[in-house]
Amino acid sequence: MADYTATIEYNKGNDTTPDWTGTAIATGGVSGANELRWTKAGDGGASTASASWPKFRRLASVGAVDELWAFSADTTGLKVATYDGSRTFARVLRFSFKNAGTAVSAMKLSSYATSSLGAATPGTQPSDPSTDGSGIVNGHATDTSSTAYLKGNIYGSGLTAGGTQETPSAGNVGTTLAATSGTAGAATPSAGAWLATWQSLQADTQYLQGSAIPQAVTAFLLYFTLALLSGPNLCLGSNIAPVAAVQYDRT
Amino acid sequence: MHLFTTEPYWRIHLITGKTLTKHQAVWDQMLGHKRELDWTLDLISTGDILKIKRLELVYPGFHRSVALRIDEPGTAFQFCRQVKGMDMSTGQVMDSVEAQIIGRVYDKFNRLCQGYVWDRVKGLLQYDEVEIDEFPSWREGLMPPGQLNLDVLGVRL
Repeated sequence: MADYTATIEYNKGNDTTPDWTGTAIATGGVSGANELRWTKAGDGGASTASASWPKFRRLASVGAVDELWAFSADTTGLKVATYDGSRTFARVLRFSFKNAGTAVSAMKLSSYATSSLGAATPGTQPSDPSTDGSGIVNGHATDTSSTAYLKGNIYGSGLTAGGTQETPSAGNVGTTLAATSGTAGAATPSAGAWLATWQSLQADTQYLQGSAIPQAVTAFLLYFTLALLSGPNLCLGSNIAPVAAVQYDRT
Repeated sequence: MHLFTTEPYWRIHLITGKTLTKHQAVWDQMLGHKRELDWTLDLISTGDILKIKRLELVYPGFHRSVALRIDEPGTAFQFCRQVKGMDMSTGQVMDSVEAQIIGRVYDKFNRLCQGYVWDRVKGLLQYDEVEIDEFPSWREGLMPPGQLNLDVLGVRL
């Protein structure tokens, strides 16, 4: 009873008129289902299986990966309409928590090399070919100042301690999204606000934290957004995507 | 009673002689069906939270548990760390309880607590002299809980 059931929803409309209907995917994927996949503009396909997902050529200079897609089944997906690797759009992704949970601490969001949730080694790239997300999580001294290649931002706490849902307006997310963005420890926005500077999602070294502990047994939506960067010093590999995860304490 | 468990859980013994665990089923009028006993919803609302004399952490393995004696009402607490992952085409499923924590506040003036953590990677750990308002992490890779909501834990300082 005390845990939330949660899904990840993505915007298939636009920022001004978001459309979240039918976009819920479960946390944790199996056999290509419930996956988030990144790709270069024009390469993705709504019916492309996970095993056939096009390879991404790392960028010659540091920049964002163009597109994010979400798949409810191995060959059933859609492009996340408002993801473009920039900070231009607010309504991109959100967690939907059902009302069966009692949070004891604020929500926290980060990314990891694997589901073992190990610590990061900032600035260290794995040998080629990498088979885990350590390259993205660790970052590189030249490309990202040893912050992660995956950046994120979070809107308030989703639900305040008093039970008010926090929903962002359309428009810019913060003021600074740079390859070097990232501060040690938790980056916590003000209530009902985005972080001004995006945070690096680097295990427990650099992570996002909600601004309050959500009210108990109340359904809510926690808005967040991501930007995945690539660069000339990012490792090569067969699948170097990290595991992104929300962590919280509950009764 | 579970002699062998794969998931950690809490068990309490009350001054009334009653023993309760999270695995006990209770009827939820709002949900319209039975659910597991909930620390916040059921123990605080009934006042049982103030009758705890012994708080146990039962952890994976055969008949394994540790316990804390609770001398003062409103000082016992428990919570667990939940992780839910977003799969970015890695095939790594993640929706797990990474740790179960039990504790008691033994110094209300300085808001210090002590107790046990069962962690999926590190196993059983003991902690002491921890500030309950800034609960630290016990394992690299897991963020510290930080500030805890004492109201839903039933802690009265």
